[in-house]
Amino acid sequence: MIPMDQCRVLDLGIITAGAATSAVLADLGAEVIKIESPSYKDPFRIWSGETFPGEHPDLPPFFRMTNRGKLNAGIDLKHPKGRDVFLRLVARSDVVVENFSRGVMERLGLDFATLKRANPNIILASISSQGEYGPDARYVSFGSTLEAMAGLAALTGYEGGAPVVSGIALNYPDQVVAMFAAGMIATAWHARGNGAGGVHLDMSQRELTSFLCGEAFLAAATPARRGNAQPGIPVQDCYRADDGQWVAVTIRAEQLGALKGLAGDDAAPALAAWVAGRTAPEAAADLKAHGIDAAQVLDGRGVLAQRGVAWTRALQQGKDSDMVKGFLFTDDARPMTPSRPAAHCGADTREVLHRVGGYSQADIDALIASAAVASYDQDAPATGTIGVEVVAAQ
Amino acid sequence: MTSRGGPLSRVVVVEAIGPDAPDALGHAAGLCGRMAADLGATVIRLAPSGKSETGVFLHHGKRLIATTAEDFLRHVAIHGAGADALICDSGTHAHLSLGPQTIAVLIGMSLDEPLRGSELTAEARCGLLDLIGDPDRAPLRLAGHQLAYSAGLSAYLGLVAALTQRDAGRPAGPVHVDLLDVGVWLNWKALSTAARTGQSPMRPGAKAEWTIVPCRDGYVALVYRIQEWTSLKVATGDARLADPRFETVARRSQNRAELNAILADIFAGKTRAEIRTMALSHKLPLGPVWTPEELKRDPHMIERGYFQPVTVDGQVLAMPSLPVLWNGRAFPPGGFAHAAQDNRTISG
Repeated sequence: MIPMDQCRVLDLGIITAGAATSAVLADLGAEVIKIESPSYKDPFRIWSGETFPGEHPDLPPFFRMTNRGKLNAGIDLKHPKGRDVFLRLVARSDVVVENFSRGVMERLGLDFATLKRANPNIILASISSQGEYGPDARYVSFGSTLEAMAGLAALTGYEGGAPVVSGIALNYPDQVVAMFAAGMIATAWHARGNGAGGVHLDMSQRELTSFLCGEAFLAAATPARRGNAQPGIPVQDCYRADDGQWVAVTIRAEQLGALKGLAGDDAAPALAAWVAGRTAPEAAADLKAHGIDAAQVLDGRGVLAQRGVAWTRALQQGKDSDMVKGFLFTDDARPMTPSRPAAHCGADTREVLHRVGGYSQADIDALIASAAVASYDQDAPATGTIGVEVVAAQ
Repeated sequence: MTSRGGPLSRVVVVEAIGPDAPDALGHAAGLCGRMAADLGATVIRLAPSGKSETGVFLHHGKRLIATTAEDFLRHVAIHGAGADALICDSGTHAHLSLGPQTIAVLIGMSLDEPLRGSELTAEARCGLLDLIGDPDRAPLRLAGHQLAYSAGLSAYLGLVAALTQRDAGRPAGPVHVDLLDVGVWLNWKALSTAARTGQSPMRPGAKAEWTIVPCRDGYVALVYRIQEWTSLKVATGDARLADPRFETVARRSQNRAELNAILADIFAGKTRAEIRTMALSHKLPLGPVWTPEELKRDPHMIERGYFQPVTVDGQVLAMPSLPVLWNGRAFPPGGFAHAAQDNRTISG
């Protein structure tokens, strides 16, 4: 059995789904090398939130949060020599993570059969919208597309109203897939330690989203949208308090007596009127004091104020004091740290090609000169594109 | 106990959330155990008897041992002693003395109140509720058990990572997963924005960049970003989208309500099948809203064999399978075990 700190991951992941999966593997101890083509960098470098003065435009905040803990090598996978470099790295690595549109890996000449020829034990994690095959395989999506197509949106919404998606601020399916995909890769790694060979993991985000509302598929008919209500819970909703804030309340059958004692009745309208007569913190505290589950609905600033009190591991300070994604779990026997900050495209090309690929410095110079690979030049102007290191042809 | 093959076929997991623990912990542990069972582990669930659609989904393929509250800890001690992993709450764990080979995976609600709260109140505390719904109406949860199941995914990850550590001869566990931390992890984008700007994104309602509008035979999620705007204009062929008010990202944002009204009008006459065809041919991430009933007949889901027939109480159900193909191979869900039947097996 080989712990994950002896696992090397080549990360072709972009935006959230693939890139966040590899970041989770870095938390488990894997060496993660993010591979970006100088001509096609991770689009998250462009979209992911505004940079402030003094911040490099290639390293916006959402990109930094999702790509901490990784080395970065600039390799043009469309260039024949760049492809050769990548395959040499595959031969010396354990996992490849990708979430391109279906067909891209084949067009690059990097399908699973090719990767397996380079390394029979390689684990290829393909994270896609709809899976490797099927009539919708070429469908493109963001997370909320999949909420609609997978059944979750049809179940979510106010009673009698239209379906609702989590939207661009959350984009829920793109977050959960990193948890699932990392779990499946860790499983394949565990199996490899027990003698299993290479494996292609075909993971469809649409199927994952359906899986996460799986009980709805076992019902005789699609359950109606019921707002915040849940089967088996007599009273559950959010109620507006006197200060305009909302209070989330869950009252199970055994707590109806406590509600009646507080509000004079054990039905939702009485609770709504009772909450409306006090501030949200007062209402939540009073309900909790009577054994009822209640909490003020917090906005982002409110959640951040609870750090160290109610939560602690999910967001961390990186080594450069930047706020980055933290950890999904902790293990008392193996503390985790956020490791290195997110890197520029090509920041570690020379080190990766030399140490992992076994290339000489002269080989690397030649590869850079041919534009098959690129190395970040920190003195290049911050144009939003890679400052390609120019090496005179020998 | 028979092994059904799979990468975890030599692993025994005991799932034991205490009878007084919040329901959300049972849902999180249940999903973690369901994944392990589908991947070949022998999963023993200790819990009061009872069955629901959620229970059938979560506990498929597990051995269920019905316990009373009084007997619960005794059963956990018996079955946990020989297990590779025990998924439990901190209250249950406090009463146990596990051997070094058994990895404890502890699921809690939050750092300050590990055994208190509901899934809804945890969603309120981590900011997820504030993001979904209309700004003038109550904050809205995603349907089902999304936060608890996300915690289940996290618990599974921690479980496998710890198993790998242990099998390499290294110390492993206890593993800790809290719903609130998982919710904060899911909510990282909004929290990053709040930390940087002091402004917290909140539910935008009809002004949302991505929204759902009615179409001819249902609803469609209008999802697109800057790189799809031109394709959307071409695909719809509607001259109103060429208005200078929608020319740039900033101008579309300023005029979002008007833009969404025009898009709603454009799509009102199209069927979901037509919208699907448009999305495929123009590479647009538009989402026809399909219901779970419809998805069981969906050609894509059928070709991939996503729903597997299982028989429960004589009734054939379409069970969602674990969403991974392993060298093209699916992991069929195991048989649903009845608590009383397993009790006889174990007690006998």
